[in-house]
Amino acid sequence: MIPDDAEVPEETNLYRRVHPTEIVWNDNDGCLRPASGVFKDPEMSIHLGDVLADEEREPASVLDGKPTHSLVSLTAGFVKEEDQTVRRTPIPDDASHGEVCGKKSQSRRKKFARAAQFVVLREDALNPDELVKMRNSGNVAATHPLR
Amino acid sequence: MGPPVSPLASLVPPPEAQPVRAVRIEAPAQQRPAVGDRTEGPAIYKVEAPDASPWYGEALERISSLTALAVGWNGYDAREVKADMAIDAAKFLAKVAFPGIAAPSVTPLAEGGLQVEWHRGGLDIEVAFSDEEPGVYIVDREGDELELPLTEAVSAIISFWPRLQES
Repeated sequence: MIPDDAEVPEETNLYRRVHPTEIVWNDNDGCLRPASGVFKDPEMSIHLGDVLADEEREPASVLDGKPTHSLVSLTAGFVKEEDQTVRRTPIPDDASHGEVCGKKSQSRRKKFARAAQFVVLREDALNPDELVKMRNSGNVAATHPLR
Repeated sequence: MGPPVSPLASLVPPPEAQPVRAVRIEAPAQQRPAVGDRTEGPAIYKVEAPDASPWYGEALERISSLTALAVGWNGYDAREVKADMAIDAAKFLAKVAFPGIAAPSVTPLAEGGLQVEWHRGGLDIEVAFSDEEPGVYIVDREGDELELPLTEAVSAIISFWPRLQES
């Protein structure tokens, strides 16, 4: 069991649920992305990958009971470089719960949105308007491009 | 033995799908000035844009549907989208839905606001209708980054509109 006050290693994946209405087509990048508003909260809830691994849980398990949400990840190292701190704040139903704390300017939120990787993308739940934009651009797959 | 469970319990939709909304926004069927029409039930706010792009009506429907999101819709502690934020976003769209401009994305914000976004033509434009942090944020991938007050949102879209046209 990982103590609540243990440092969060840089390579730790931080997962966050994304509602389908928060996923938009970005024609500049040619892919779907979480909207920058997803990353606005100065105390942003996330789920710590090392705790999930310690509990032998798959990352997608944080979507249990959320049949339309998708899941994105950032690394602890990335958010720390953006002047954020990562806290372990377990809650009764979820020992993996944590928070990314710090001011998130518009510029910083945009960086988060561009860096976030989809771990689970529930395309069937997305806003049809965004899928139309995707298909009109000549793309047939919603998957995030590898960079 | 626990309390009795209603046989309808399994038919109750999840919170995020509850058809409860603070406001419905629609384009009027007949020409009339923009007006707030408060009646019983959800307020109906009619926004006129007679020469608007074809996507305009759909955008209004989308804004209305976002006001039906319940507390916690984002899987955490998001608030409901506020009616006045939805109306402000609809009024903004009425001013910028020029024929030929591409449809924006409209996304909810966890604190109860809405964001209208375009990501095309090398531009990322985000117009936030929010009590906490209203404003316009523009990234021009050719180099510039701008933060503007919400009062300049319409003029900003007009100045960039050649790059926001439908392809």
